[in-house]
Order: sequence, then C-alpha cells, then structure tokens
Amino acid sequence: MSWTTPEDHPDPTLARRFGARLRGRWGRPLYALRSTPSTQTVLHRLAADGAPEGTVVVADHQTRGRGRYGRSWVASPGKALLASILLRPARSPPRLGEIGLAAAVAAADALETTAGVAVRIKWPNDLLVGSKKVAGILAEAALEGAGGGYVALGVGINVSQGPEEFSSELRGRATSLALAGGRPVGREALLAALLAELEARYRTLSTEGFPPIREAWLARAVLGQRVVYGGGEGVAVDLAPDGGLIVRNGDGRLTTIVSGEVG
Amino acid sequence: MTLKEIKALLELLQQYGLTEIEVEHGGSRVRLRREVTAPTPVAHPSPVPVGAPAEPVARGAEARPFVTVEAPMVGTFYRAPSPDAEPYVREGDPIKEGQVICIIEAMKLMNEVESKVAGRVVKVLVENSQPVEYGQPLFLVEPLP
Repeated sequence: MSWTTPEDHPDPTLARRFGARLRGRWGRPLYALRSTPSTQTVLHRLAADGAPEGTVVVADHQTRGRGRYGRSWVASPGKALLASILLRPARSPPRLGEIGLAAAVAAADALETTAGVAVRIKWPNDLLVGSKKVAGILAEAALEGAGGGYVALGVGINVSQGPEEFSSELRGRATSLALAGGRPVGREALLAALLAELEARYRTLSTEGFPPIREAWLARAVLGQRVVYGGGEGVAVDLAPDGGLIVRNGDGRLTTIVSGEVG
Repeated sequence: MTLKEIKALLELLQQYGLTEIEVEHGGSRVRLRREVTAPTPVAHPSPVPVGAPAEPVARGAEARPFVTVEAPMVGTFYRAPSPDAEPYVREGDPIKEGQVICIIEAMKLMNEVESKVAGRVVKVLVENSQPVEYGQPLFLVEPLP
C-alpha cells in the first residue's frame, strides 16, 4: 500500500533537512511532504501498514488540517511546524489521555528551550504564551486498527507567522514563537527538540506512571478559567490523578471531567 | 445496566413488535419479555429481520439475542468525525467486524470505537455529543452469522 495519495506531495529535500537534526530514536523513519491534506491522515495510512513506533510525518502545508472534533487548523506554508508522531502504547483506553498530557509537557519544554519563551498549558494540552495559543495537540487512537493498535499524535506549532497572518478574530487569541519570543526559530531544531522531549516523557510515563507527568503539568498549568462540560459548568481548579480536570461548580461541589470546553 | 438503559430496551421491544429481547454486556445479562395476547400488528415492514411472531405460540422462539457495543472509556460520544460530517453508522445499517462506528473523546484524545461483530445496527442508544460512562451500551447490534 502506498503511503501517499495524489493529494500528497512528498519532498525528499525537506525530509533530509528535518532528518539531519534528529538526536533520538524517534523520527526514524521520517516522511516529509511539501503539501498534504493532513499529516494525521498520512500517519493513519502508515500505521495501518504496520509502521513502527516513533514514525513521524511532517509537512510544510496542510490543506485540511484539523483540530479537535473537526475544527480546522490553518497555517501559511512553511510558517508552522506540522507533525504527526506514531505511538504504539501498551495501555488500556481509559489511561490513553495521559499520553496527551505528557505530550503537552514535552512540547512546552521543547518550545521554551528552542524559542526562549515561557510556555503554559491549558487543560488538557493547549500551549499558551501569555494568554495566546501557540500550539495545539490532537491525539487520535485506533486501538484495534489494522497494523496493530496505535495512537496518532498530531502537533501544530505556530513558528514564524507575523501578526498579519492571523485573522483579526484570531489575533487576540493566537500567536507564533517568533512573535512571542522576538527572534527567528528554525522548524528543524524545534522538531528535533520536540521529538527528544516526547520520547523522554513517554518513557517516564511507561516506567514511572503518571504522577511525575502530573507534577510537571501542574507546574505549567493555567487554572481558574470557566469550564463548560456535559453536566454543567464551573471553574478549573486542579488536575485529577488520572489526568481529568477538577472543576468547582457554582455550589462549591467538585467534579472531575474528562471532556469539556475550557475558556 | 441502568434503569434508563432497560427503558430503552423496552421501547425497542414495542417499536419492533418483539416479544422477547436478551442483551448481555459487561458480565450482566437482561432478558425482557412482553406478553402479547393477539398477533402484534406491524404497520410497516420492520427494518430488522426479527419480525413479530405470527402466532402467540411462536413467542420467544424467534427472538435472537442482540449484542451491545459499549464505551471503552469515559468521555464524549460522537457519531461522526466532525459536526458537519455524515454519521459513521445509522440505525438499520449493516456493519462489518472492525468497522469504526463512533468516537469517544476524552482529554482531546479521539478514540475510534470499532464493532467487534458483523451485523446490523438496531438502535443507537446515546445522543450525539453526550457524555458516556465506561462500559455504557452505545449501540444495539443484531449479529449476523
């Protein structure tokens, strides 16, 4: 089975550029495209074909990039780091969410060391500089899929957009590393740092479990926002031992949620 | 199995003119039987090939056990990959083993749920974008050999 469709445009030069900076096991193999509907879609195809853990797909441009539940993710070509990473975790479904939180911590570390900006995390895994979103993570699991169960971890990081590249609606809520840090950031160095941090946090999760990840997450957490969820609304107060968000309702009662809108 | 789920099964009995239904999930098993004194009139052909028996004497004999597809985790139930996309499956649709039939989202992890059996979707038991509990029945499926 081919890993591309007519809508995918592989770019060997781009693959060499990204590949040359890698320092861990992850990113081998690495597939790079000039343009694709979505790096997640490409990774799903590779995973179904039996690709190993640590396989990475990276693209200069996505024509149908997506966020959570079909929300679109838009970026000008070459301005964002768009990558999907293949994981094959030996975990039961109820604990898969921990991986997304570990990924948020890893990405925050990578952004800080590469771009010199202070990064905070909004539950479960949005990365903020100040109050503006700079990166998002989307995990898609197919535990009984062909080619063995897997999680496709999609990461989108705004790297070098200028202010004019965000719509007036987004400008108040989104930023790029270059805008926030005031200096240019290379996507190759950023991907190398991201994969190294991810590999390390993922290993911590499998050897020590979730507590050290929870601690690192809380050290970067933004809490106190209004949260709307299936059963009501409240204020974000803490991270539960299983990675859920503890919310205080209007009547003072505490509830742990695993799904909801954090303001 | 919650009272709410049992009520949903009762509605199914009536909707499809069944006399008996047996569902097994998560180690518990429920059998519901409806007494029918006269042949149940069926206004329109049932989409499910488990019609009401023609005579009371046949009651129960033709009832096939349905199976449920359950939530593998706590989260939000989505019937389609995005709000404006077609649902993965509708009631009456044939499904294959391993076919993705919904998504459960938790902590921004979209977990594809696959059917473990081949058959036909009899009933979607949960509304789109509703929270679900671990092990909660999501679909009622008539397995086909």
